[in-house]
Amino acid sequence: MSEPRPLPHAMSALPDAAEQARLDFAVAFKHLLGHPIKSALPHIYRERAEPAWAAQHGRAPENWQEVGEALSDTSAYRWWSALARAQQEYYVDVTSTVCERQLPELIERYRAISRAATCGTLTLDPDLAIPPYQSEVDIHCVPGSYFLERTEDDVWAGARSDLGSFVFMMGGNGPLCDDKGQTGAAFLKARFPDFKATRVLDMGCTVGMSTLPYVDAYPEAEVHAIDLSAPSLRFAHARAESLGKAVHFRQANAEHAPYGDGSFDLVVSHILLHELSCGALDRVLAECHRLLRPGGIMLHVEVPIRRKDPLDQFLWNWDTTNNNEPFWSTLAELDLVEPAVRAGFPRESIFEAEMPSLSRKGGIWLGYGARKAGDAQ
Amino acid sequence: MTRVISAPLPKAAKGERPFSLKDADHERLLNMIVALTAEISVLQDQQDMLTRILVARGVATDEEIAYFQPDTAASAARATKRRGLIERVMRIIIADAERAVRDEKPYEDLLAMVSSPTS
Repeated sequence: MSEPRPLPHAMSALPDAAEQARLDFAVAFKHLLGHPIKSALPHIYRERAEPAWAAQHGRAPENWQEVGEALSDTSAYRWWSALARAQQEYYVDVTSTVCERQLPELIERYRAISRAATCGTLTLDPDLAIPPYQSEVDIHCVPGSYFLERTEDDVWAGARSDLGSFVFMMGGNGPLCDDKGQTGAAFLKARFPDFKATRVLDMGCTVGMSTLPYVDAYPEAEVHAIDLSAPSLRFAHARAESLGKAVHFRQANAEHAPYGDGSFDLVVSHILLHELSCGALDRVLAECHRLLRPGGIMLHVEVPIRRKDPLDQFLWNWDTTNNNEPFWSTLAELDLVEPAVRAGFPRESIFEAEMPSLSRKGGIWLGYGARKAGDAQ
Repeated sequence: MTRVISAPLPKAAKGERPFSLKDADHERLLNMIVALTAEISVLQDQQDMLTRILVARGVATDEEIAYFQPDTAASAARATKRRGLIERVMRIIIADAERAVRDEKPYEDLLAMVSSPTS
């Protein structure tokens, strides 16, 4: 079986044969970590870890923390965890160096495309402060995170994110890695069939992978997108232009976006919430409410972090302490109704839904959102 | 033209690195083994590709390949590649060295910070 390949665009960092072989190894290795290594853990838990913990405590583990304590005592879990972290660091290192090798050329391509830009725009704010939940840790274990800038017009972090997202998902999010946006847009069309949008905002857009599907889903709409990272936004702008999609990218913080009250019909985000903090989550939701016109809709597409089974929840929460995702397990247990009520949304309009992925068979995204009170159209 | 980028890419992600194995040094070795296995996989792919191309075009025999002598330029190119190989295999040690000289908050402090309602 051949490995999936991304659909190349004008800004793609293209691995040479040796780099591609390293990426192919990383993907093959990750598949192996999933099965048979990780898939054996529930069996090992039931047969060994749970009885051993129960013998010591006089009762079975009751929550994901206790399940985790029991499982972490097994050599099988520790080896899987060690290998998973090693795989993450390895694939990040390879994607980083692929983009580093091509950086001067990628910057030239960005400049040429942005000079000739016809459909969208890019507005950067060099004075924007990076909030501590992003600046204090390199999320996803990417050295330099989204903010490394070592030269003028640096696009390295964007290029790495573009290539890295595809490899991380092993191609599972489609050739343009846009499954979250495609799934979110399809969900909105199904749930709100009569909803019309003339202005859409995507918060925390990174390189715009999930933004572009909304350009197609709402062809009448002006699509805007914000992010904290200048290198990602430069890349996003050139990427969208090269794909012929009109998006207005702007460097801004979703906690206080530089747009007027009621200026959007639809505000969306994709895997943004788990990168925030409790306080920032409240502020982002309040900002969504302020930015929406009466009857406007907010939709946050998230990874399916809420698991029914404590063992499943513990394994999902691995990313919190092992992949630099400090807010992940806090968000997984957080009530999301009250924060939206505090932000101003009517309680009855708030929803959490499992959205089937359009690209991955059996894949699920969590859809969390609400509708602002007022005239529906 | 783009200016030369003099600062090297960092190898250590900001954030204390967890170790899952009981002995952290074993896990360091594990990381090296992963990288080495990857390089073997790369070589396997490349050797397969080159052999097929050479044989298909009738360019070289097995004996010519076995006794190949690189010239100065080829030797220099090999040295660069060798350095890249060593940096990939030794990445975790390089990252440890980077973290050691960096003033970084404990990860626990970070968890407490983002979970705080006043964050």
